[in-house]
Amino acid sequence: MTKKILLVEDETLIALDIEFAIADANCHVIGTAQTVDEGLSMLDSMPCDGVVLDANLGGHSVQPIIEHLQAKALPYIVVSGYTRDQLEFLPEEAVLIGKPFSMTELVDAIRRHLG
Amino acid sequence: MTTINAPAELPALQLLIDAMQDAVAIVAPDGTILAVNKTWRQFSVDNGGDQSSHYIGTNYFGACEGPNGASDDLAGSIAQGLRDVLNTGTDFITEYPCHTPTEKRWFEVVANPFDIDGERYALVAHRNITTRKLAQVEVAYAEQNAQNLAAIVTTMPDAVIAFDLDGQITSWNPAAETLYGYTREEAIGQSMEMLYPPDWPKRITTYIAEIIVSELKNFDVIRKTKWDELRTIAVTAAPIRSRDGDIIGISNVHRDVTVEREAEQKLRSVLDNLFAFVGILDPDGTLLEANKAPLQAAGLEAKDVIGKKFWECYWWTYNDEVAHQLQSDIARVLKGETVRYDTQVQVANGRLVWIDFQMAPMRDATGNIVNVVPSGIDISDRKAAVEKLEQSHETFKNLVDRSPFGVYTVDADFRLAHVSQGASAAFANVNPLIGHDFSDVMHTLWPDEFAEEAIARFRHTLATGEPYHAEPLVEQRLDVGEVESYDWMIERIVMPDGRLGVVCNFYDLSEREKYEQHIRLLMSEVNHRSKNLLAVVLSMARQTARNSTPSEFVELFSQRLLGLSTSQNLIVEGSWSGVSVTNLAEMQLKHLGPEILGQRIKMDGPDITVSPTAAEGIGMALHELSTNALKYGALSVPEGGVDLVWSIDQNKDAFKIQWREHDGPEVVPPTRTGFGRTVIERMAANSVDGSVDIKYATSGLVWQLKAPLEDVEQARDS
Repeated sequence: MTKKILLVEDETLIALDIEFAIADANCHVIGTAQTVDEGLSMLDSMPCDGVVLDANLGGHSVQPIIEHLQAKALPYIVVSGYTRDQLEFLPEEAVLIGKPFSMTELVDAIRRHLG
Repeated sequence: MTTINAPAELPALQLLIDAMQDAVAIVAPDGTILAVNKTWRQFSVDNGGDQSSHYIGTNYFGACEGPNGASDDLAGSIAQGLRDVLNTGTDFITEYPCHTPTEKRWFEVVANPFDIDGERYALVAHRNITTRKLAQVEVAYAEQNAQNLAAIVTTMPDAVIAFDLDGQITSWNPAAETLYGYTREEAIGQSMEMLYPPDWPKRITTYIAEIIVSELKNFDVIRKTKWDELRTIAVTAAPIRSRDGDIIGISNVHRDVTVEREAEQKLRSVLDNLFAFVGILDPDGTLLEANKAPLQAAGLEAKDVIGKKFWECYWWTYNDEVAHQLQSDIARVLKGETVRYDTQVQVANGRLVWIDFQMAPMRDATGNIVNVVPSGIDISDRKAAVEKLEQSHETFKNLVDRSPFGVYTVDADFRLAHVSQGASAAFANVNPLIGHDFSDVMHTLWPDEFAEEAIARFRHTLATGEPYHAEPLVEQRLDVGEVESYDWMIERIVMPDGRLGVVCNFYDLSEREKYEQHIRLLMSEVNHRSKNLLAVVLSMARQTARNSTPSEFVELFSQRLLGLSTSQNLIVEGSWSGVSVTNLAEMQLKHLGPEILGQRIKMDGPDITVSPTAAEGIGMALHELSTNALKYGALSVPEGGVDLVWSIDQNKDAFKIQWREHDGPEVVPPTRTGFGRTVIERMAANSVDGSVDIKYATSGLVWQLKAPLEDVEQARDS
């Protein structure tokens, strides 16, 4: 069964890239959110199996989304230019892929954690 | 009682003697008083003698020799003289004193014989000679005096010279000879002008005239000796009067004061050349003397101030208070105090000069204060130096106060003495600040442990002079509760009061740390942005690769990278705050070349500024549209062109930009969604939260982006 993945990323080109990575990992993108509010509402309205998300959307931290995912125990991968120590809200067990990322690394991570 | 044989002529004689002024008696040959005259009687009445007979009928000898007579040798000698007159016919004359208790009197008794009928009688006359006698005494005294005076004059150390009203010398004592070298013989009869130096301006007659009217009593002159030496002579002059009171000459006492005057002159020239003020005041404040310096400095002459009240003199008239001060000061000096202070005096042209002023009492030999001596020294140079020093001090104080370093001093009593503005923030909770006990200050600001350590360091430096540079301090403040960090060092200094103190320089590292923190944040943000950009570039490369052959890749990717870079340049130039749409369009279409840009592309729209994100999305879309038009669209044929227009709607809430191609080759809609299509559709729309509409009309491609104006203008930070 193909896993349904929600993408939260405001940078269009990167979102496009990640969409390809999700596809390469044999998953299906059910939607792309560009803001925190959009992400939270999509999570409520569209059932999904996992989330790939940027840590910062238009200057806003995605902490509310992370908390929501932790609460629902949904698997997720954070893709960000920030290092882990700059993302204090991130739980230790969270998977962080640094930007810029290699396609192989991202596809592997999606397969392992969300697939 | 003897029988009196009065001669027949007696009555006539009685008439004769009554007319005489002297007291007269006629004495018979046996000594019996035959008759006395009126003067005798009166004298007898006046002096308490025999009132009944006035001695007529008594024997003159008995009166002289008897128990009631003038019982002394004089009476005896007068009796003997009268006997001789009667016996031998000689004259007798003698004087005798006859003093009363209140009056000194002298009488002369004269006895003259005369014969009547062969009998010898005597006429005895007593004459008051007191006046004559007194005159004789006076003359005797005068003679004695004259002799004494002559002796004094002769032995006087001062030259005593007299001259007549013509100026001819009449008297010349030995001291005059010693002084001038001329002997008495050489001088007497000469004119006083022989003593004058050549060209002496005043004639002897002028002196004489002035002495006579007493305008001149004591004066100094220069006189010349026989050896042509010039001497300074102090002259005391007085007129000489005759017994009748007429002025007949002039007396002079000459004293050689050459040495004294030279000494005085030297002293005065020393005083005059001092640029110091020295004066002498009467106890009532009248200026009696002043040296030249204050006169010259103020452009005054002695007569302008001498005789005036000191506080009314020009020097002090610039200020009423100064005058009052002087009066009360003089009163204090008269009680024995010496006053001294710095004050200002007025000199020429109303300029004020600072002086070190003093007034002291001057006492006579018995210790009484007889004068007040004011004195002053010009200290304007010193004052100027002090002012300069104060100014430079002020400058340094300003420098210290405005320094970003905190500077404060602790004095020898371990109290805060000075706190610079830069330091005052750290002491905001210390009140009062200046003079506060430093131990107390430290315990207010810091926990005990650090406070004690710092206090010990300060005390050590104060005691030994050893400077101390502390390790950077990071400690929680007791008063504000925050952790603060300081770099501090202390050194011992000499404080303005001449005692030792400690100066502490400190630098608030908390501020620096905050700044460094800020820099670190910026750095990480830049790092994030650049990583993000690299991610975009990487994505762009991957998308380009998916939709191109390896031979096309390099060209396509390079062009897209340049397009991205162009937008980035504009964003950075605008300091991340915004990019002009006009600029953005011009820059993104520049690669078409000036010919196409100038003739085949029409641009029109208001000059609005869009956010960096919008600029990135719109910029990349314009890049893709223009490269596509050049390859396949309107710009691929010579007659084709593009209209690029943008606008803001009437409600000012929507932005629209349109790319319309015309006169190009026939439009063929693309069969698949390539990278270019993704950029002009999704990326542009996402960047401004807007919508994109693409029409493949036969006349040419039309691309249109619509978005809320606020999303276009507002920076959507990523």
